[in-house]
Amino acid sequence: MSALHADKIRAMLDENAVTAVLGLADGVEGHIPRIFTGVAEVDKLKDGPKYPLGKIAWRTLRAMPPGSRLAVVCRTCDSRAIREQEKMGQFPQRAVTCLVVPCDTEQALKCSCSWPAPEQAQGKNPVAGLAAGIRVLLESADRAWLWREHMQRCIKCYGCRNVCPVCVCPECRLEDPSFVRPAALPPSPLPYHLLRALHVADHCVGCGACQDGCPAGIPLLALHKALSGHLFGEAGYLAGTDAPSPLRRGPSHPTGEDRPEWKNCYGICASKGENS
Amino acid sequence: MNPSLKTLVFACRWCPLLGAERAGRERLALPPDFRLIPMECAGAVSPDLILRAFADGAHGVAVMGCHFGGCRHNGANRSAHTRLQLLSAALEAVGIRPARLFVSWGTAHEARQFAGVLSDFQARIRALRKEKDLPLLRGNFTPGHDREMRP
Ligand code: SF4
Ligand code: SF4
Repeated sequence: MSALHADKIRAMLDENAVTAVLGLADGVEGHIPRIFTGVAEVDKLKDGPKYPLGKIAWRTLRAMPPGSRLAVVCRTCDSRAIREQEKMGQFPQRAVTCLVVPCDTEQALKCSCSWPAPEQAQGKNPVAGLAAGIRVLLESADRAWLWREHMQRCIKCYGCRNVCPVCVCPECRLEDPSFVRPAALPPSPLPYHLLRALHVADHCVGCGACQDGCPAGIPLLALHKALSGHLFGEAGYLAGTDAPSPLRRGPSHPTGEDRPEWKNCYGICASKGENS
Repeated sequence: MNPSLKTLVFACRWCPLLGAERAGRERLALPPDFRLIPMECAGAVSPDLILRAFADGAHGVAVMGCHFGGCRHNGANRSAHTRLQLLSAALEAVGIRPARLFVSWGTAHEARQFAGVLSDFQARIRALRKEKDLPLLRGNFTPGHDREMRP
């Protein structure tokens, strides 16, 4: 645990700026996520390895009483995911403070990450960092065969959905029998994998938790990167930034004071003597 | 006989549906194997429905709406267009020809236009007849199905 983060956490707990801290600590075997509330326990926090904390932070905060604040010691991807959750209105603004542990080059390569450290002012095109072995899934002429071979291994465990930090709907279309047939195994790739990918497309931060968690070893990240790359190319949009999603356009009609003044009814009501 | 080319058309009721109805009344030559679902607005066509249509056996899906700027529902066709572009990027990523998805805005208002646009689209799907892209990912994973399709 970097001394800088440790000091910050101690100060925040002291001042009651946060209710609890979520981070990694030694478990029986390797590292496990832990929640701390006392200053004395801060020394137990660990920096790594990379561990998907975004969904856990979301669950933790929702289980805490309203008004609680959480500090999370995590990687950039999770901090961007938490920003997306905030943008989706999952919790009040600034209820979560992320203390980011930057990833080294080795980890960034492993994750095909285009944005491993927060200092980088802006991320790069998410598909740019893809390794050649993964790129073939998006570029080879007979990639439908490759995807078929991967997707037919799916055991429909819903792990990819459950671990994803930005997959937060209270009701999931992947459980809707008119889209995903119950008991059909493997699930039909289009209404399962593509549907999931599209639903999280503008929130996906490319953390790779879905792929790392998949027991069938399906290279899901390639599909997500392709979609993020599309949004980056078309709209310059990157998930995890403050930019609004290009898929969720606001109302195009003027609002507020530009609205016509209905009270006057343009003289129609006045002629009936009903004007207020 | 030509093998059937199942085509699903989502048509917004303000523009292409008028063209479709007129094409029917004027008895224009229309392909026999398309089905049309009238929509209040093309913006209501979620990519999920299109994925489901492909998985359930459609060879091509068309989404038709009003011209940009002519939408009756607060410019929802623009949002739909952005979503459908993303869908076609997803299809492309896994190797399904995006040409199987046809998106048109304000081009099918007249009877002749509708008939023309539809038969052009069907010609486009017919050209993909020999491609295995869609059947591969439709979800028929029964053993043997593979052997039949392997080139
Ligand atoms: S990479 Fe996977 S787990 Fe991470 S945000 Fe994207 S879809 Fe969710
Ligand atoms: S985690 Fe893997 S096996 Fe489980 S549902 Fe997702 S893709 Fe299928």
